[in-house]
Amino acid sequence: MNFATAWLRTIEVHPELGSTNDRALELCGQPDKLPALVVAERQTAGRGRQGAVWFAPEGSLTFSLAVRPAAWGISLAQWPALSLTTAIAVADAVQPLLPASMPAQIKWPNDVFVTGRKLAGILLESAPTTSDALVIGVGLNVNGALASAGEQAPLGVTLEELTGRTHSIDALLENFIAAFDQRAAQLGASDEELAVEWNRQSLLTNRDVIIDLGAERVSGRCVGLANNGALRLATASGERALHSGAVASW
Amino acid sequence: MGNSPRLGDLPRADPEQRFTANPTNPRPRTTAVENDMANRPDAGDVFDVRKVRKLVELMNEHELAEIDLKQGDQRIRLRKGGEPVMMTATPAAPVAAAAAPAASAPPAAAKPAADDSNAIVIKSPMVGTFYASANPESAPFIKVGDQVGPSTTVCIIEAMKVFNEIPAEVSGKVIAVLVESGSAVEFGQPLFKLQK
Repeated sequence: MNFATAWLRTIEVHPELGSTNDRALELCGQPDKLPALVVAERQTAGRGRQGAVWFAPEGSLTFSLAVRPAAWGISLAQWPALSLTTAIAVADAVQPLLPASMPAQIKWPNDVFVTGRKLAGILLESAPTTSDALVIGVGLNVNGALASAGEQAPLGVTLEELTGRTHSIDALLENFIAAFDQRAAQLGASDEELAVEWNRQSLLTNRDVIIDLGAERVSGRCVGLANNGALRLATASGERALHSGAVASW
Repeated sequence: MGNSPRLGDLPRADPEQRFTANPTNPRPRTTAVENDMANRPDAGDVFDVRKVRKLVELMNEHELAEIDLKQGDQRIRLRKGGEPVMMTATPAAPVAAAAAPAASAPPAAAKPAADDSNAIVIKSPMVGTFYASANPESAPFIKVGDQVGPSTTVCIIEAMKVFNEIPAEVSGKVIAVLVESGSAVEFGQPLFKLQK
């Protein structure tokens, strides 16, 4: 791959890999290799939230970035907002390939949806031994059909299914890498345009949602996303800002 | 950047305490009474009456409603409020009987924390959800009785799908796990108590 995006110091392309996040976490232990990109042409043991399996069919783009957010001026307290920031960068990369009638939408905090179906998922993990580094894993459904995956990916959709043609995985990856660099710089500079963007693209806004917080479930209407990335939920007892939790229904 | 909040900044303290622990309300501390349990021969037995008393003090100190500990096939479960102390122990019935009075004392009358010269609290560095293990099937990163070092991963705190492995940053022996896996935690909320 020949990237116009020269900010990466390491690029690894593996024909097959258990989990790109695991390999990227390893690279965090070799600071001179960061920032690094790990791409798997086939990922066999992709992970989602809390060990959930990420289903990656043929034709999907699975990769992880190992980065030091401080390089863009992003503070530790801003790390959680990197989920939305990454989702915006994925939307930047795919939107030019989609008709205007199919806007990419961000499902708080870390999924990209188009036409109500999931096009991409994002998983961020920190490396404990090098507390300044973070791994950003992305799974993007590009070519092929998920309809055949049945129950394994009931809500998923690929770019090919949306557009009726196949797309270059390398070109998508390059576009994402360039977009991520720009969006991360916006976050580091506290550019409020970034929050405007994630509010504009928010899938959950104005919907009644139920959020599972583990110990409790809260329901209410999503009234937008805060500048720090929190989900703003109007509940019967007033507005709450949620920083974690799983969207149980929407 | 000064003190003004930056885009993406999470609040450093959330007034909405959904948890039983309340780090903003420290209790008065007195001289240590029984903080050398780790050196005693019976230190490994969670049903040691002194340990039970210590747990009750911990509950009071951190305003915990319940502590539930397991060690092998032994289990101790302390709950404040109207219900009595509950213990399910195969080998330690007499101790259970002795323990009840210690725990049934009203919180206000309980002895103030009898230690803390030797105790270290690991606090949450961020707002988020606390996970005791890497996934629901795996064992917790640490449990009561474990010896940890500065780089030992003690838990994961997740905020907006950013999973942060939290290192202990201190050394010591775990004497209490203060938060249940899957619970929301606030910035600065005590997560673990260690003994130096």
